[in-house]
Amino acid sequence: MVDVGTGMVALGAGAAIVGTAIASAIAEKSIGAAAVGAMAEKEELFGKGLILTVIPETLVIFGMVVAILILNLAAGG
Amino acid sequence: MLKPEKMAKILVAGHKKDLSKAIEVLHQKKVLHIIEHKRGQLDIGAPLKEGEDASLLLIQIRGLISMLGIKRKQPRKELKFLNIRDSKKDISSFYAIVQKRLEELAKANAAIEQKKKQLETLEKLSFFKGELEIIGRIKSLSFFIGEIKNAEELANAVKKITSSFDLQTSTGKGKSFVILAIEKSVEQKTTAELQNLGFKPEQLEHIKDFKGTPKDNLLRIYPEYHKLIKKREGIDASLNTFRSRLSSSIMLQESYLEKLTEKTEAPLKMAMTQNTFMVTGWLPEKSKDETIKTLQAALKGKVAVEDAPIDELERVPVKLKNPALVQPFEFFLDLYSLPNHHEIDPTLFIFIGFPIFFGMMLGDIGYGIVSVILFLTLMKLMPQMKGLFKVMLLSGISTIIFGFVFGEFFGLEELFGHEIPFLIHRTHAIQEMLMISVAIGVCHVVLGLLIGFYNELHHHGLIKAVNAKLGWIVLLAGAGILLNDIAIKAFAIPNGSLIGGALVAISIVMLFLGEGVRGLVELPGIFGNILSYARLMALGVASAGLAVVINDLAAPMFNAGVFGIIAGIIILFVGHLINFMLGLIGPFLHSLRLQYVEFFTKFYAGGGTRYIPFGTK
Repeated sequence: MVDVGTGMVALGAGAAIVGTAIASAIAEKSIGAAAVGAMAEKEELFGKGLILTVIPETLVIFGMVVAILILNLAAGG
Repeated sequence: MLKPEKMAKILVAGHKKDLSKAIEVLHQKKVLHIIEHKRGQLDIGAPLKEGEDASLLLIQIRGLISMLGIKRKQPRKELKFLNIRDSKKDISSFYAIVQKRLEELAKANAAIEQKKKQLETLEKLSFFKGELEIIGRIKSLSFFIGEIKNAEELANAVKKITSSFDLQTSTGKGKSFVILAIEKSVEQKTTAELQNLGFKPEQLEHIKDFKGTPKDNLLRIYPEYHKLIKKREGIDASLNTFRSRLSSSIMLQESYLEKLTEKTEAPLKMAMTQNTFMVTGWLPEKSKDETIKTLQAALKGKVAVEDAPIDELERVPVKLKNPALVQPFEFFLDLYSLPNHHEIDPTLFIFIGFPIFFGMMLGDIGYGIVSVILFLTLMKLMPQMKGLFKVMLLSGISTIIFGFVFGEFFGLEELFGHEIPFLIHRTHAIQEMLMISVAIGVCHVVLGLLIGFYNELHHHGLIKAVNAKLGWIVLLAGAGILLNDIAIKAFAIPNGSLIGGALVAISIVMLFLGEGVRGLVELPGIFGNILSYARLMALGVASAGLAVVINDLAAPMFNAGVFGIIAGIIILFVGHLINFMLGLIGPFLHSLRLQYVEFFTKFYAGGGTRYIPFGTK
């Protein structure tokens, strides 16, 4: 069994991912719906729609980087 | 390769009586992208006179195709000549006949449907020996006819209400069909009781005028029903004859007429005077001389061709020019937006970047081999999607190469007790993979900025180009030195924070001059862009991790007897299949996203008009 401290670190890293992933999902939900609507009207908008839809995805990448930093800090300290 | 095809704008003018010949030549050459003439000082032309018949005929042919449900396929041959007048006679008579047949078919179908319902009801009633007309006629009685689960229950229930009733039942599987005649005075009570017992009344609407016993009626309607079925078969057969007789020839006629109407309608895009025509359009510079020569020869020199003046803001149609290997990647530009005519065509960069990113994310020898086989097969099966499959094929090959870099085969790091040789194990060296991914990100973004610098240089001049594009690179360099000095300390740079800070300050000024306030607002964005490349590592680790999980789940099964081995094989197959599908979709989208969002936004304007030469519709 791992000790409580390690578990806390893991939870912290998980929380970083969870929060950012939910944030990305909420943001992408509304943008995606609008983009699909626009595409139904005008198919050439696929490229623009894709870009706008995936912009909030960066959030979860930040979350991942933070998670890795947390894990590293824990390993180092 | 890096620039779209160079285009020339020409103006062709000639006498009206040579018009159809000129159109014929241009249609055959398939090089001139005609600029539609707008009605101004000069009017537009009228369609050539054979056009009207041709388009009417085309409408009828298309009507026939859809009425007969003929499958559309590209005809192999091409019709050289079609006698429109004769063809029109044939097609209109076919059209009329087919239309009539279809009407008859619809009528027959409706009649068959009705007879079928009548037969069904009569069959259910066939145990009833009385005559059908009494059901409605006896005013003092109410009739309940329909299905019920338990007839005995019903009989008991009715007995409680009244003693004067008549109940006839025929019991089938798990349910009974009942005819209950009861005094009108207790109708409501009975209805309520029947509802409780789950009574389903039979629809009698379609046999309401029938007289005589159900048996008699059955005997009468059966032959009628069979006669209708025969009739429908006859109509079907005659439609089938039409279908098989027309299916090949009608497609040829359609494609011929399509081309013909394209030609006859061409004058609508041209300028006309009383006796002359004039058409302007774009064509690739390299085929200009040859086209002019052919035109002159066909019209015996009675045509004037000259270079047309090009307006500064005019939209030049864009024809991308890439080697055969790179060409499939033009698909991604079609999906996004074509480059405009004076910017760099980024297809080559996608050709390099896309497979590398894809391979880095999937990166597994086994998955790579499967995807190569998959897309080779799909290319054979669906030749119309060949372009996309070629892209995926190259990505698959890159996946195999990265599989060797990471030393992974379906998630395994060793085969038959030997470790697969590797450069770096991505599941263990996460930190290093993150660094590599971000480094690739920096290179890719800087490449984008350099292309942007080139585009700006040709469009807005040196100062703007330096400020707007090199400013970002200076910012990156400054931030890199600062980061090194404060956190990483990988290199020892004297006065690192001073130099870094100065570079950042300079870059902010440059960006303000180059892009205005918008540049300042977007300052943090570039770091987001670069961190975004961390997905190269993240998706890879996730896909490799899932593969390892599947293997670990299946491994103990193989020591657990025959059923264990079977279960293990199923887990391996289904698990890797799912992971493989995810591994195709995820890396495809994310690799594409890195191109579109992180790379293209650094230089790409897009918005080019597609080059569609006359005759290639």
